[in-house]
Amino acid sequence: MPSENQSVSSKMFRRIINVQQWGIIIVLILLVIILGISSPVFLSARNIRNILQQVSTLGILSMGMTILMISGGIDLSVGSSISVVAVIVGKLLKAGFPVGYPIIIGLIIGCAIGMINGLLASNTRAHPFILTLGTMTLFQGVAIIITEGYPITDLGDKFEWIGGATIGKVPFIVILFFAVMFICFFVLKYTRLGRKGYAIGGNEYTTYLAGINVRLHKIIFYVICGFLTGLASLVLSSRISSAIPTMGAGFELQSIGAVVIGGTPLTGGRGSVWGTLTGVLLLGIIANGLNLLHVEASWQYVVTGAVIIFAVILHEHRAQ
Amino acid sequence: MKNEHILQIKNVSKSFSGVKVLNDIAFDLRPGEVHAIVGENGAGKSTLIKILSGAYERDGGKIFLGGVTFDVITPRRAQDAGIVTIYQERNLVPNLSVGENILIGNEPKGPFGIMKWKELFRKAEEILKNLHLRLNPQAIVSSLSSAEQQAVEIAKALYKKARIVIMDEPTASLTRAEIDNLFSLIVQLKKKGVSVIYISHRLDEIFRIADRVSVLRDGFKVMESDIKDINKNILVKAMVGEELTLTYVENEGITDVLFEARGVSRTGVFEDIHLKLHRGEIVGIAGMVGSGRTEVVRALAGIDRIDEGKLILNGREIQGKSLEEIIKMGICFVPENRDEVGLISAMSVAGNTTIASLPKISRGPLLKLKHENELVETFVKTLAIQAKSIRQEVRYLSGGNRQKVMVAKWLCRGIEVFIMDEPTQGVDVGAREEIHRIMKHLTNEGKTILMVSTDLDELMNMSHRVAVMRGGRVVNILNTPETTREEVLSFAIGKSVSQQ
Repeated sequence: MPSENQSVSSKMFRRIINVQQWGIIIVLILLVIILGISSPVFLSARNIRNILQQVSTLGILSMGMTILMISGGIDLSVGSSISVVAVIVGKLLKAGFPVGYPIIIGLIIGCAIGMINGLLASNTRAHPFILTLGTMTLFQGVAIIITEGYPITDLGDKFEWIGGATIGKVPFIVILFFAVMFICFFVLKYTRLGRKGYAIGGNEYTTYLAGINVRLHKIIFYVICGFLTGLASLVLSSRISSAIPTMGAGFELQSIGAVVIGGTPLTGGRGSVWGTLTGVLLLGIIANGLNLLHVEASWQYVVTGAVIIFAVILHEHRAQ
Repeated sequence: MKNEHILQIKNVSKSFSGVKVLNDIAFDLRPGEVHAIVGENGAGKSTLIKILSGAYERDGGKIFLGGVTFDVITPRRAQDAGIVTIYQERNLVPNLSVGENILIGNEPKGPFGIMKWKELFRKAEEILKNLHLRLNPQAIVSSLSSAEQQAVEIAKALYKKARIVIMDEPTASLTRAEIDNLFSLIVQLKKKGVSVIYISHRLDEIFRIADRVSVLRDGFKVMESDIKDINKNILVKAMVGEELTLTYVENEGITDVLFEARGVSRTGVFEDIHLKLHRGEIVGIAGMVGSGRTEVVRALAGIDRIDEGKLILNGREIQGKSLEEIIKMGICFVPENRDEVGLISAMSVAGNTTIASLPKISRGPLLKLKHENELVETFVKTLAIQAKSIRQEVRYLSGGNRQKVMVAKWLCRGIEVFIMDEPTQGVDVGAREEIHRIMKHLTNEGKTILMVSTDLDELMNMSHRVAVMRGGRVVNILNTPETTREEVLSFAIGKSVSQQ
């Protein structure tokens, strides 16, 4: 009797879990339907391309954040890092270096910034949230010092190619975003590195007892996040053809928001790039849709905030 | 009829996310009675207590307190109604004195709210004396032993006019003498008409202290009886629902030394530890809390540093090497606290099993998931790990199965020396037997186990030799067939037991 009872109820249990995992996707679909009905342009090919183009920067950034947050880390400095990388790349371009050099240097700086955060997070007992709050402010200052507060504009046709090029009808940066996503998916699921990330996020001490060099791997995850931050910075500055010392501000919260909407908890140990993709798309579609409906920008903040809260509550509910 | 019971529970049910964990439970409690609840892990014991203490809301059923229905229970209302729960974790303010903790919230105060210390300590002393407790009311709680803190909690409960005291595994971290003290305390409570709900998986205790016992299994109440009408076999049978076979594989031929500690010390913690572990041998470490047993095994496993001495595995010195290298050489540490440090609870059975052996399941940086699945399946089969699938997260498994996953992790790594801290703490009877069987199986394959346990029965039954620790030293190493529990205990506490 008891076993029969249990199997029936456990099936029900699984079904509920499934529904909740699909929760965000259902919200996304509902949103698409509502916006499709209320705005004739919304589902046009051009607008869809537009949305994807708009979310590419956030998407690339959030993939790095996903890997980092799964491993139990967090990086609030990604926004100012975008600015730092952009202004350095901008200065180099303006100084007349061939376009390849600034790009490579930009990516290296991204890695270096990740390394700094990683070294701090793995060698101190302070929470990375606070540590990177510090580096966030610090890097913001650096970006302003480098440019003396002025934006660097007109970065040149060659550099603008990144943001403007299309392959077939698809923008290059959208392809880049999806490529980054598939690589991150692959790393998380099919490599030792990814497995160690889940393990460290799940239980750092146990992973250490299993003979894994936790400290080294934490640094690696910060460097990955830093590298993708550098890439996101290149994409963004290329799209607007300028480097503004505060251009990255706010990206840290958007990307953490996207990751959390996607079901990766702040405590780490679980999560996926697919979840983050839904988070990124949700934020992108809300912004785009409200624009199309001529909703004021201030209300977009309100809606975005509400969606993040709703998503977190949904996941919290599922976790129990 | 109703007034005869201080507490009556009728048809109480509880589900979590559609899984029914309590089915129509009936339970009652008479004044001054100890009513034990036993059952394997996951049987529903904790859920039932949590409903009574107000931590969970019940889905259905009725609760009568002193004949009156007691409907909405919140932790606050439960306490006001005289239901006090004493959990394994202490619920005291560590930096305050014993007296302040007992009278907390009702401290005698003079004008301007100035504390009347003398009166406070006098009152506290009175309460302690009333329970025959020899504790200084001015002592700071954090300086007391776990057992003494527990006694303070009970005194506090009594001061608050508790009618029902719920004790959840109260003896889990107590020594034998401390358990005796606790039991005399329970007798005091009974004399004062206080009823006790006693949860334990140590059956010996149930027979010593309980008047009645209820058995839960899979969320159902399967038995209730006066303790005098049953015996241990009947109880175990009711708990597991089947007969256990208690046959161990006997061990033969212990010869060569696999692992040796030579004069190992860490300043101020332990000193001059000499220990030889042979192939196929289980060595137990006995000792009171604070004797340094856990510290020693952690150091032997290479986790904590040593200041002096040598650790030799298969003729090679391991001290000073990184944990990664030590594991590679074949020593592992299976920690006491499964959920906090033993497992990655959000990871699957497979992920936990292979986490220490990633090179084994990968080519270069890439994982071979198919190979991983096959490998894990074999361990799941040999260790009889019960999980829905190897991709199920370990936090959904029972305590015993989680313990097995921990063992699987190290078996997968090909470990030779298993250093285990409390291998069966907090697991149910069935799982305990199975873990013991696995331990014997390991030694039959020529592996070696060094085990710390507070459970003397476990030490005596499982080990070939028992090293007794006291004050950071190994005071004696006894061969188990020739020694007795009393002898082990007398070395551990440093005096003859019979004198007590």
